[in-house]
Amino acid sequence: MFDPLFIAQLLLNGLVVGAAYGLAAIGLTLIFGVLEEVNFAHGELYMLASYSLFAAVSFLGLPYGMAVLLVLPIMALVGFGLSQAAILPNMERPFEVTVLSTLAVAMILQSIVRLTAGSTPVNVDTVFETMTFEIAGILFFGQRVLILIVALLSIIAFAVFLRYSRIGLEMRAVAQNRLACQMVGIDLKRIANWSVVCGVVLTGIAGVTMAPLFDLSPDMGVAIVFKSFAVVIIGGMGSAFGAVVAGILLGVVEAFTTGYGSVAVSEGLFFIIMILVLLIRPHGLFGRTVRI
Amino acid sequence: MRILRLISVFSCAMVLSALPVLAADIKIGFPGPITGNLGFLGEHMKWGAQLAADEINTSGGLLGGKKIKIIMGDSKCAPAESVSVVERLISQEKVDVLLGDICSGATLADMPIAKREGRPMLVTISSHPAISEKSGVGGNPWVFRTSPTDAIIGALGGKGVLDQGFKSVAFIAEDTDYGRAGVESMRQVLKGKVNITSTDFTAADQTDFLSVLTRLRSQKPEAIAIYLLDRQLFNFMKQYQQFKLKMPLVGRPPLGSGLVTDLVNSGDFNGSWTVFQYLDSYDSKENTAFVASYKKAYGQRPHFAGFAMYEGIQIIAEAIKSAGSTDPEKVREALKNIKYDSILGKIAFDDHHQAHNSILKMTIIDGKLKVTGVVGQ
Repeated sequence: MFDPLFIAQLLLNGLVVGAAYGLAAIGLTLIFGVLEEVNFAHGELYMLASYSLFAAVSFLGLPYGMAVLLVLPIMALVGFGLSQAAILPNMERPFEVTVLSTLAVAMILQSIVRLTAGSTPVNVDTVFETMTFEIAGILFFGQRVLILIVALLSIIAFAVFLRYSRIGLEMRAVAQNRLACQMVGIDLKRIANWSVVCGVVLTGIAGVTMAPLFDLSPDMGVAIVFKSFAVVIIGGMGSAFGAVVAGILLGVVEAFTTGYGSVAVSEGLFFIIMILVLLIRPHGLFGRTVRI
Repeated sequence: MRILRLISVFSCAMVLSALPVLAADIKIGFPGPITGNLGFLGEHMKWGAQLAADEINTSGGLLGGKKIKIIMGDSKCAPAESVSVVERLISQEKVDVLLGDICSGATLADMPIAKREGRPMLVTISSHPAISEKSGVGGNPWVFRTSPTDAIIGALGGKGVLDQGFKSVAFIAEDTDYGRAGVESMRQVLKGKVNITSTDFTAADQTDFLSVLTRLRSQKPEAIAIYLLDRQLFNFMKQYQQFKLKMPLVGRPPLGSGLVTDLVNSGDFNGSWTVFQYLDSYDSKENTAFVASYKKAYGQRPHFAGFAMYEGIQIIAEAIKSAGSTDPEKVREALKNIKYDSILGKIAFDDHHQAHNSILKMTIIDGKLKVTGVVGQ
């Protein structure tokens, strides 16, 4: 079992699965990082992006790349709607109001998809998903490699946006001190809209790149939201970099425990790590100090 | 004003006069997943039951024209939710007869309520051996089951592995009563004869099998025995295809599910087989007619869950007809003595209220799932 090829394959699996966890969680952590609001509709937004991709590929007959280009602006609009309906009106209210209103959005989105598309799962086929390359005995899967690349590009592009664009700088300022921002004339509502739109588009990117891997169903967001929360808590609430690192850490741990143990062990371990991190570093691995 | 008052009095009279007719409906209720990861199976449950009720109602109903009304409550396939649905079906909806949930754990939790409230309950999908062990003689007198038990299916699966001379097998199953009972039944047959290289129980909503498949690729068992439901099987088969593995899938994978038809037809799973109680392409006049009306009504070919509920309602209707009443005790006695010609054989219950209709062995040959054996229990 200590075959180097086997270990290398597990390591690669961990990286690709972990990158997917990280990518799926960035949108959640971003909204929290800037606005300190928890978006419970995160999983359903991921589901909505996946279903929109399915509709674009199956009903409009678009190739995968074109479908992605169509879905992401739609997700930006959905993000703007979410911000207007469930986040902006509640920013000055107690924290649980946003939790409940985003939870309501989650239920509404899930029901709309169930009523329009039905409960029967669907799937999206892409060229990448059927590609498997074998290099020196190690298998590389097309769609998963794409996810790894997209996760890395997303984090780099987002870091550049935060550091060098005016909106990005304002978002960081709001994350650091909301009151001071208001005093110097930063429009908080505009920044809140931008943060939610960016967060939802990032969740959309996760949805459209991961959709071809698995079947799609109206309840698929529930499973992703639990893992995303675990990733965000381990990485540090509000830290996009932390989310990717925590995702990859969990992916690698999961790959090795499943490889050498069983699936049941790895599932438990995911949440044991979360509890341990909370005990040792209550703000997560990259919480507070390296916020967005 | 007077006209308005007259209209409202007339409307009230109409509603009141309609009430006795509504109250006289025969109510058949069941818990099943409407939301959650098994929601689509619940949809088929509802469709199958409704199709049977519609057919009976359009041909004149039961007991001199009474209509069957189907009531389904969302259990999410969780035992606690299922129990509260059954409580509500009995206390508020006043159902005459119950059907079991889809998941064995939920059905096992519902059984004591059927007993306490004295309502016949027909289990058509759940397959845990304990359901019939706890029913009939010395147990719950209200519960009957048409679906075969995992003990029988597991034994047939184990025999299939031995017949093919496989020396090693890996198990992968969902971590539920269904998955664990299935693996255990098959393992009993294989014990000491076949090397079991690994056993993985996964959460029922697990979609990623990358690491398990990596291990299986390295361990190289001669076959992979599966106890997963449709959605997990779809994800497993899709990822298996990416690994380009060649060992056949055996045991009880739901290969007849519409979700995996494209994967079955790809030819990458030739030689894989399953033991199941229904296949929509099963060649018989009755089944062809059933499939045609199901497809016409719902736009999809029937899933096993739809078929099982369709037959369940027909069996209950037969029992009510022969009892001449919806009185629970009379319906229960009628069920005990029923001889129903099902699409796959005759259904009659033994002293543990377990029916013994046919089971199909199906094999993928040249990218097509074909019935390669019909086994009487």
